[in-house]
Amino acid sequence: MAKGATVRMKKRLNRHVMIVAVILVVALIGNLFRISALQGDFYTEYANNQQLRSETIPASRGTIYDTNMEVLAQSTTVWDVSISPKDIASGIDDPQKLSEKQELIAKTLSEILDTSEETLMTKIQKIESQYQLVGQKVSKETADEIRAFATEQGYTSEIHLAENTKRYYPNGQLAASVIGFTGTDSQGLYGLESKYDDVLKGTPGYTVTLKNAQSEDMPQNFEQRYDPVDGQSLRLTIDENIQSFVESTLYDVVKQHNPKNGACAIVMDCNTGAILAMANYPTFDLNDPFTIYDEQLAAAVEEITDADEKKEAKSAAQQWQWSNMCISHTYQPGSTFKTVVGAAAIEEKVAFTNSTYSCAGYVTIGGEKMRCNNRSGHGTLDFTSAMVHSCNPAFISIGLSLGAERFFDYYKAFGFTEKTGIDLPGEQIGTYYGADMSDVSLASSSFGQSQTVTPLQLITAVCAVTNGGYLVEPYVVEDILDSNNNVVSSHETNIKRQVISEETSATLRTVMEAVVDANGGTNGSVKGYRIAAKSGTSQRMNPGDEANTYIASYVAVAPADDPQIAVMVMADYPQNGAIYGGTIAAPAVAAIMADTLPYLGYSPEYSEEELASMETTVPLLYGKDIAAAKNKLIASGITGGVVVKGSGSTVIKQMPSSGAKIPKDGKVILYTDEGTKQEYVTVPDVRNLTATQAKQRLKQLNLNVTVTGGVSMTSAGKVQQQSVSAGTSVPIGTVIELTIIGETLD
Amino acid sequence: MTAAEKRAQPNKQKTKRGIHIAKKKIPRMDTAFLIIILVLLAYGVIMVFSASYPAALEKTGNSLHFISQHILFVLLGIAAMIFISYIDYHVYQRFAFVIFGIAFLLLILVLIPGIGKELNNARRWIYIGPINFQPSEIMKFGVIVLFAHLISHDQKRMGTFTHGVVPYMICLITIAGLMMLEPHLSGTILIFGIGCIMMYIGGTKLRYFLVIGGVAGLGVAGVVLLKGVNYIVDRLQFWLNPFADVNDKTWQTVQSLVAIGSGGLFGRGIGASRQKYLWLPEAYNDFIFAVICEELGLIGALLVITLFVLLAVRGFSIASKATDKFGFMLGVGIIVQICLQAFLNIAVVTNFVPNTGISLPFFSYGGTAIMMQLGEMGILLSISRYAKIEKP
Repeated sequence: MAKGATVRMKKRLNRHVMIVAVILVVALIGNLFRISALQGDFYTEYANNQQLRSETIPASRGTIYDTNMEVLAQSTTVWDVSISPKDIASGIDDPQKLSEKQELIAKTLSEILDTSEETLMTKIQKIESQYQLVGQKVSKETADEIRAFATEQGYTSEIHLAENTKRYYPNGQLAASVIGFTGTDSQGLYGLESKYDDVLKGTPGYTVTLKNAQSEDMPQNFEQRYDPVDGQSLRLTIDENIQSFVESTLYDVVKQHNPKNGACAIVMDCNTGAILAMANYPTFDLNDPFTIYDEQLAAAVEEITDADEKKEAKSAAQQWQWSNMCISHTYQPGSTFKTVVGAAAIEEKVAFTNSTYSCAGYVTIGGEKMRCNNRSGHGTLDFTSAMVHSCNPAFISIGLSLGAERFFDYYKAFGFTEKTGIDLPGEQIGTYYGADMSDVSLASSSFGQSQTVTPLQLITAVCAVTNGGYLVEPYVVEDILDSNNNVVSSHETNIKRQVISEETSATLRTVMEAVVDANGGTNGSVKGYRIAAKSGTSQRMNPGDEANTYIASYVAVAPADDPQIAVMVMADYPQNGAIYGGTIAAPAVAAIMADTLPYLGYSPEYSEEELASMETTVPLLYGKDIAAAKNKLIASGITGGVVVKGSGSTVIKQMPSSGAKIPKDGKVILYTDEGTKQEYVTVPDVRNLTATQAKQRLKQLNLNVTVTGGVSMTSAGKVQQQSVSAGTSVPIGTVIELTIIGETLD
Repeated sequence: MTAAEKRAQPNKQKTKRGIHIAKKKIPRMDTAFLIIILVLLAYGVIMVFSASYPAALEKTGNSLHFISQHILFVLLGIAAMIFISYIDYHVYQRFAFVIFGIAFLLLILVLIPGIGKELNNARRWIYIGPINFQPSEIMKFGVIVLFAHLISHDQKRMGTFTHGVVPYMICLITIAGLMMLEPHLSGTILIFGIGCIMMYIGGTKLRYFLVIGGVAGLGVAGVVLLKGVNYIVDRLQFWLNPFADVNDKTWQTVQSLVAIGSGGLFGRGIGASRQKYLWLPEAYNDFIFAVICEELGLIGALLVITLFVLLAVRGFSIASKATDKFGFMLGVGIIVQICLQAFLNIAVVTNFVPNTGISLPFFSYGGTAIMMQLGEMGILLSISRYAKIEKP
């Protein structure tokens, strides 16, 4: 037999082959080390990307509350409904049975979801698909119905319900442009929803699971869960009750005067800058923000036939209704701005309350003739009268004596060159002249007719004029709350600076109160309260503006001796005849004041004259003897007197009848026997008389008189309407209601 | 041989095993080598179990489908190995041409449609009833036996070209030609590699390998011409930068690298592979090494390599102790086959060489292949027994 392997063979094996083998193995291990250790991170990330499935758990969005914790915006749980056509079709070979099942699902779902059965059927027939969305954000009731159907039929893998959230605004259009709305993914798009999106939205959580190459879950116990952090809630300074009243008042103004460019109103705390109400028109429904809310506007959009133009017009209309005019609409403030000029002049001691000015109806500055509202001139007037009569030449003179530099310093100090800093998105600032303005510009600026401001800038400046000189930063979010409504952080009043002294401010308050009380009361008067205010009627003079169109505004603070709240109403381009701030905006401001002041706990204090004209209810006097009837009337507060007709001793008829409202100084006519006929008088025409004159005329005829509106009975305002037309014959004692329009002084 | 048996006959005649065995006492096999094999098998069974159950669940609904089959083949294989270890290995020398001839015949038969089963555009398998096997697996053994016989028969003239190169190359090129018709590139490379290493150890002069290299080069050039240059450029691109364009061709490589890389140094833990969830194709077969890396990390991979190194060292040592050249060459050939295949598999799985289908001995699932491997281990064990008998 042959011998074993030769030495040479063993050498070739153990030396040569082994050396090559060792080199190869070392190289192999080196390569392995490179992959495992050096490039491990790259491969691990690659592995995670393909193996891990992360599913977000939505965080619930914070609630928006009004100042009394009434809900203004809330997220509710809704459901998305989807079907799996693949699962519907799986395991059914008989085409007849399959189509029966498909039809049953299509029919039932379309009924519950109120959608077209055909569309549903098309989706169901995509049998390769595992996911078809058939209903988005449906309510709990709808979801329950679908769930019941799916459970009953055993279709739980065919029909799916996934939780989602929907933003709901219980008050519809209330404070719409302040609150704003969210998009389909609950992201804030407008207003506070957008500004405080980061606070409200919270942090979504997620779960991480493993999936195999066919996207199915691995049967491994691997799930990491990161809980969502719910969004925080907001408590606003807005008061739902005030806001709601302000809006209805503003909409009345809009209805009556039809302002082409919209209208807005603000109620603000003078000392803290808290916004109690902020209203705009046009407005919209927060639950349906894309529909044009204003009927005229919607009709105008509908009329456009060209598709592109229509789309553009609709988009413009949407933008407009969403916009918050209070902070984004810049306009020439007109005479309301005189309060600011006046405050600067008093502070700088270039004007005093006893300074005198003369007005010839116009003044020529730098070759330009500037008119006063009173074309024939106010003659000589002092500072207060200049404000009361809103005399342009007087304020031109005041402005010129301040000089461009100081004028601009105060313009800046009152905050007109900067944003107010309110915590709402989209704030604008107007255009203005610098310290190097010409005399012409200075003169026109002095009565508010050159530079533009936002309504919020103006009311904030007027607050500074009247609150002791402090320019505050307005705000709408009072507190940020956690998910248990514990306060996380609170707003602190931010006083930017003191612009004028307490004394100057006190002076201006007195002057502005005189504006309201002029001639025994104006449209801005509120019975029982001391109001300081100023109206403004500015000519719209921006490039492109139509000639002889106006902006009417009115700004007021109350109580006049210690201002707490400020109210402003503005209507841009009223189209129904009236143009004056004192006529259009003042009654609205007065109405808001009359409603808001008692609501906030400020009790009215009536003057004697106000007490006298206060109304009371006439008691039932039938069957009483005369003396008892008289006593009863006095007990009811009716002190105007009694006229007894007839010779009986007991009352058988009274005028006005029981339950009617008459002023306390009104008269009651009593008839005591059947024989005496009821006396009649013919109502005279008292229109265009002053309130006092009209009342006197009617009283002489034994008629009772009531006055609507805040204007006092002694106002210099003229009667515009009488409830019973002239020439009508009425029984004596009948109540005639007069509508008096306060004298417009701007 | 009878003389050797006589010499080896011990005097213990009254053992419990009885007189018959005592008379023909066969020496003990190499225990260390057996242990290495059993450890490899145990490691392999555990990993096949871990790697196969997601695919088993997906394909058959029974997560134990592959592992139960695998264990059955392993047990049968071990039985075969022990049985073969008792058979004197010289019998293979006597039947060297017969074995080679059968293997050669099968290699031709597999090309015939109806006998060879086509799978993934290649005709590599023969199915006979429940048994299926690759003729190329058998041919590996056929080449080893034939070459061991030829070398031991005329070792002195291995240095000449006519005796040391020509017959071997005719043999190898013919086989390569047949196998490329299947086609079966990895098997061809493997057989060529085994043959060349055996020739070199047998005594073929190094310079002749330049000629062989030239022939191989011509073969490669032929393939290039056949497949087109773009095909080769693409294959190279897929190899060098598989992540640049993850497609059907690079998917395996990418998923394999991701498995190895995400396993890191210590792995995700036994059973915790994520890639085996259908990301990595052939996770329990050709790419089981990637699953080992993902679950047990670099440490687990080094253990595999170490086991194969130990197998080689001990195997070569057994072969070197063989008292004849045939036993030496047979043992060396078998160990070279196992280790070269393991090396190529790991090189493919780690993208050290371009991707080609090759399984990992003792680890990859695969019925007849593992039985074949264990049978060959039986031959090694037989060499370890009979070498002792002939010791003087």
